[in-house]
Amino acid sequence: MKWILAFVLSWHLIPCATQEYHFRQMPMDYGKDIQLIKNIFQSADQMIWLGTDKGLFSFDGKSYQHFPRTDEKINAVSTIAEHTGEIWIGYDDGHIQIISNDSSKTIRTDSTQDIPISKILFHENGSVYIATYGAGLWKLEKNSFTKIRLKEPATINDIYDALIDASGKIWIATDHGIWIYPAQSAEPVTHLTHADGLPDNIVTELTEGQNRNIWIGLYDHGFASYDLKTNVIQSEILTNEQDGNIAGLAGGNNHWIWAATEKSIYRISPGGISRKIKLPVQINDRIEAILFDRTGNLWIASGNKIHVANSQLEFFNPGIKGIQALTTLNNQVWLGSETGLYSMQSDSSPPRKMLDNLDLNILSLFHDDRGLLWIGTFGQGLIIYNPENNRHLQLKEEDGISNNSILNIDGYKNKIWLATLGGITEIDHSAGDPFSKRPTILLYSEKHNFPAGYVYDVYIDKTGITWFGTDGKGLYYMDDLQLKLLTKPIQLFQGDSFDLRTIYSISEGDSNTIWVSAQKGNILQLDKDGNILSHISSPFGSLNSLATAGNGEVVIMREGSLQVKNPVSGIFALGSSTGLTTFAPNINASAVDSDGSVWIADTDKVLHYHQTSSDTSHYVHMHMVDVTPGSLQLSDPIVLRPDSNFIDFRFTGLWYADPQGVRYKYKLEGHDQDWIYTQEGRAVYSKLAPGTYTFIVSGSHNDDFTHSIPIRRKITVLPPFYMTWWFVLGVIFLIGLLTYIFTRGRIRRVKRFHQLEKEKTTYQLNAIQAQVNPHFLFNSFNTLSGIIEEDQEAAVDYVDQLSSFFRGVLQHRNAELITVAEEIEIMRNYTYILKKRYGSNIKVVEEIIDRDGYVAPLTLQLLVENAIKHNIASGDRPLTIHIRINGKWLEVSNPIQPKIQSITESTGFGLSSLLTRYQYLTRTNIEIINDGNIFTVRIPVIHPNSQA
Amino acid sequence: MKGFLCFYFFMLCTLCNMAAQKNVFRTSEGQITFRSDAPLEIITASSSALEGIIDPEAHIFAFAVPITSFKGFNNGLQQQHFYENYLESSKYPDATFSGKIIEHVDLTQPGTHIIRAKGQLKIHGRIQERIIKTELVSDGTRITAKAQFIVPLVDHQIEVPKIVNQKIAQEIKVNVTATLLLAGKS
Repeated sequence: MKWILAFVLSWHLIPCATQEYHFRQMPMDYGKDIQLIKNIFQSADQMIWLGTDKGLFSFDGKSYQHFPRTDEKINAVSTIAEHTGEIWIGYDDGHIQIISNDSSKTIRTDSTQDIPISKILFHENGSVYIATYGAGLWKLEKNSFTKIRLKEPATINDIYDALIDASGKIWIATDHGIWIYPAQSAEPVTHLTHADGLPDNIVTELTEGQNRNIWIGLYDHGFASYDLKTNVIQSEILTNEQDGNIAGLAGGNNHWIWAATEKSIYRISPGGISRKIKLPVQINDRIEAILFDRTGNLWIASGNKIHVANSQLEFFNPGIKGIQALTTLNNQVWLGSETGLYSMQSDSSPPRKMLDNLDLNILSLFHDDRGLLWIGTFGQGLIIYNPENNRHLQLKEEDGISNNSILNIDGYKNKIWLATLGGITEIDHSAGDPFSKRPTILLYSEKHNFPAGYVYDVYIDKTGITWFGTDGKGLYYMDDLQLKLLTKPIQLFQGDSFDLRTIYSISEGDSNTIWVSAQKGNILQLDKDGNILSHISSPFGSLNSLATAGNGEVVIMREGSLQVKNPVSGIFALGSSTGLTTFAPNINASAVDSDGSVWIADTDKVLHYHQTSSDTSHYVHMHMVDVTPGSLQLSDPIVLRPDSNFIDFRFTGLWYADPQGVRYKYKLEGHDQDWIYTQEGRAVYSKLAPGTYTFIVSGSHNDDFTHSIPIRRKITVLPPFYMTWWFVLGVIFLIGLLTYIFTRGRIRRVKRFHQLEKEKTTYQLNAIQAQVNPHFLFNSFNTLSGIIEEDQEAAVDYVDQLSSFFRGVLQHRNAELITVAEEIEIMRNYTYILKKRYGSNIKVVEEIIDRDGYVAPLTLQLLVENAIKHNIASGDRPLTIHIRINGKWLEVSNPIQPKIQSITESTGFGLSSLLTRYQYLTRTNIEIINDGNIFTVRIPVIHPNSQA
Repeated sequence: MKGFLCFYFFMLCTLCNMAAQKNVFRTSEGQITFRSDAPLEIITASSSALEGIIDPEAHIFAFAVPITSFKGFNNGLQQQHFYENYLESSKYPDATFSGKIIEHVDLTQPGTHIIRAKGQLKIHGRIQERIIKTELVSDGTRITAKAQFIVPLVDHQIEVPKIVNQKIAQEIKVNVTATLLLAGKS
């Protein structure tokens, strides 16, 4: 490898700082006792991360969030990196923590135990390289470390910093120069040392530059740059001892480089000019780290404090009162004030007063391509001034200019236009040096019939068209040597809303448009035909001046307010957060520098606005901080149960230029009709109806929400159980089932009832049939005839009993139940009749104490009849029938003396009929006990009250 | 302090190749001076009890000075505060600096070398890694070392009462000169 050896000293050391940036101190409520902030890092999602002696914190501009390690040890962060959405943190004790959206894990190996991690690098071939301070370079594969063996391992144990360049080589900063390790090719390891032009061998910082170069921070000799195209090392800043060791490098807006040492900050412009930045007194601790964020802010960590400056606005205090005009020429800013002309170096030296012999009140300044200054005064005409030889030339009304008070000057090629209190004057100096040959003066009122009166602004756009803004006479432009009045807007807006007759200021817009500042605070973008393309309204009556920066940003200046209209991201204000507290600019007292920056005069100070870089984002980046209940990351949609129906969103919009100025608009689609605007990063919903919702929130710093990428979260609120389909189905099924069961039971009961009714009828019929059985009657009458002869009185009694029995049968045959007493009465009548026939062959023994309760009618009669029917009842073997109440039972028992053949014909009715009847009447069944000797039938006595 | 030197001597011995007969430079005289330049008072004190060794081959070094050897304070009370309160000499009796020389220069060759000594500076029991630029003038057997550096109190957690804030600087300037002679290791 051939190194072109070069060591070019081209530093520009400025003895005293003049630039003033407004540094704001960030809050210090870390929640932990932080002593030192060692790292500042911005992830791709714009979040700021702080590596401190107490671990890792994220910071949204308002509050901090601590990210504890998984092992819960507190150790100092030594480096922070990002890879595909994961934040990798290296610690002083050799641990590496990886934080992703939904998890956090720690890699720990013995290889780096207690050795600080100085850098974590992600190679595009997929490998992860870990540089340590004490144990060299390692490759991380599958949670295990492999040491990268370089030639002289002893000298590269202490790695301060490392980076991977565009060709995939790993640069390692050590005490012995830079080692370059070709990670993926077989090329040899190369070594950059003092001999190769490195100003110092101890290299502590490496940062990739924006111009195919590597920035190198050196222990002793400040900062150098390695040009990857030419392989030349160039020293850029030589720091001194008071600056202390170097602390960091950061690439900034407009290709600047910000370089920090322990005690100072340098700014290096693309032209290689470096300036020391004046730091506020409150930055008194050692600077540990710097960062240039993606919205144009410069961050400084000093001790345990964070300071942030907006890098776009610089302040100069030249010590001059009443500044009314300015222009830039020969790297100087020329200031025109009530007290004359001054030139201000953009460095430390105090401004010098020029043309001291003239007592001038300067209203306007312009420089032409020849390096001449054109000075418009109040009442003293025009002065043409050559700073090279200090010659000047004064032109007044008597020399042909339209008015001695000149409000604005602009020029193009060899022509200069003056906007005066009395019309327009054109000065043509194409003939040559105006000092040797008097320029031609043309009065527009004469040549073009231009109306008399005040002309506030003259402006020549990129296409060479000259625009004139008059007081009450409208907006004129000069095209193809024809003066025209842009009448359309006036005709369109005759009313009070827009009045384009008075134009205070004119400036360039994008794509052949023009911005004008009109009366009543209206700022309009017009095309060449006078169509209004956009409109900005500022507070009533304010008088706006306009200037267009090199990138097309329109700077809007008025008393108390400085705003910038970015062609892409819209308006943002440079307010108190940038250090602008009071602002009283003169009309059109601004100038655009050759680099596109805008210089603005503010009575007694000078502002320098640096246009927004194309790579800076001016949008508020939204972050969801917390969602309760639920979790931040997972669960899309968030599912809520109906009984814990509460959701609390906490979100934040990142806008570090003015964190408190962020506004949010949010809406829960499906619930909110309109957007809800708030400055509090919180939205709470409760008692949501079941359904699906989408929560949308976006943020803005200028009330223009179109560019903010909103956060969306889907929410599903589950229906309560009684509204779920399965529950409803279940209930329907259950009702159906119950109805079915009930109906079926009912049908059964009805059927059974009918059956019983039928049985009852049959029984009654049978009972009657039984009682009027011819046998019974025949036997009874036979008995009666026998008694009549023997004992007439007994015969009468017998007939009474017989008729009483039949009356009882007839009386009770329809009743379902009769009392035991009634039943016994019938049974007695019956047995009386039987006894007359059988005599002592039959004995009926009653043991009835309790006559309460009910039985089915004719039960006893049937059982007694049955007993006689089936058993022998003779003189030898009389039949004794016992009838007794036994608890709930009415028992009828008889000894078994079976007949060989039953005399009486069986009706087939008897017991089975009784069983069926009792099934219907009570749950208790009739019991039939046959123990071989005694036949017992137990009839349940029914007690209606206790009957269940 | 002897113990400390013995320890580093042992360290040197193990680090070096024991088989080869090697030499080290050892202080014959060493002076260390500090200066506190505060708005209301300037304090200077110095010690001649600085001892140290440099191994010219391994490029490692070790220096130590007892805290209580510093003399020359503006008054006795100040000295007492310095010893007992600020530096807690009973707990942390020595200040030490040991490490390696970054530049691989041959110190046994006569000449003037500007080297940077990188090592651990231990004051008040707190270690800070420092790189201290040192001028070494060698005639082959004798080295004169000169170094100046700054010790911020905060680095070593040296706490000074607010009441004497205006009398004691937050950053102490330290000046070291030492003469070291080549001596064989034995």
